[in-house]
Amino acid sequence: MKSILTAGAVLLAACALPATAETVRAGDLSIEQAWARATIPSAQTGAVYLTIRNGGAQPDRIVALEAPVAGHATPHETKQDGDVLRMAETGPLSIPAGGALEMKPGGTHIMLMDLKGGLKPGQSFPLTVTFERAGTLAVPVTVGRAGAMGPE
Amino acid sequence: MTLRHLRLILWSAVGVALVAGSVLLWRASPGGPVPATRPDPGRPLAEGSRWQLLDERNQPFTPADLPGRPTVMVFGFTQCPDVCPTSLSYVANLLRSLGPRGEAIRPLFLTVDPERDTPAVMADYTDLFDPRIHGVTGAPDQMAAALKSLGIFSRKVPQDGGGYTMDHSATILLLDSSGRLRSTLDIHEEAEAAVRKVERLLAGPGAPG
Ligand SMILES: [Cu+2]
Repeated sequence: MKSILTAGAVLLAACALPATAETVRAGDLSIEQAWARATIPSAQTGAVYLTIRNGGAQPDRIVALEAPVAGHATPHETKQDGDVLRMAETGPLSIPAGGALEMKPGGTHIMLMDLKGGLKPGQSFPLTVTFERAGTLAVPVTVGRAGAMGPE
Repeated sequence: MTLRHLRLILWSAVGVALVAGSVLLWRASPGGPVPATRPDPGRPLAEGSRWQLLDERNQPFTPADLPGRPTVMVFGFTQCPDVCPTSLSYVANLLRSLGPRGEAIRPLFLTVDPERDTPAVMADYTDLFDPRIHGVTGAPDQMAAALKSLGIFSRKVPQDGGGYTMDHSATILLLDSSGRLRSTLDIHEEAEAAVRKVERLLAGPGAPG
């Protein structure tokens, strides 16, 4: 009986985990589904997407980003203005109290610049994120296909 | 049919062409420089324009190469990691949905950043999405002339800390085998709607729609 209960608890725990990547926690924040798209080897730029949930009563914001695969990592946003697509740096990204910051293709992303050798499918690398309140943590990023539209 | 009816029909056709032309022009240039050539939906696209580009195999690509096969044209650049992969992935999915019928289509990715996108870079980049998608680039002045004649807006935008990015039109152009602009696609359109538009291209230049 006890072993059945244990097996049930393990199964439940497994179901609670997201299907992809690991969830990283820091204080009231949890970061899920950090992924990037593969590039050609000579690519200078890449994009990382992740979802940050804030279970706390205080907003937080990202003050620094760093990745060993790139010279710089900067918050970016793509906007469509009529028919014209524009991509530009944004100010510090904030995560509202009790809310979430969701990044996906065609919107907010973390732009990797001066890539050192591109990104290959299946590769993973740490993205170091520094929050104003929650401190610094390393988020594992998984690289999917070049045409991926979400974590794979 | 009386002469009056015929006149009415002809004038309506002129009206539709004018409206379609101005919509395309308006869509191609919000706040930006106005393309010098207005694509006329009744004429083969870029007809009378003179430019010479290079495809990803270093072969010349000119306005004379636009007719021949139904063509899907996507515009972007390889150092655009967010939205350009989405557009190319949309076209790759479209080709997959069409199955064997998709073989008649010529999917092209034209760069708005010819300074950095060499034919070799374009070849490697397009192959990440579907080997059938071919890259097209060229000398900067030739590329600018081509984009203008196709009604595509692009602008270089300097970035903090050096380097630059490109603003550009999001529209995907659908040309029939006579080189006429039949329709456009937006990556937010449902896959089934996109398949139907491409099927109309495959039906040939004489087919309605
Ligand atoms: Cu960006």
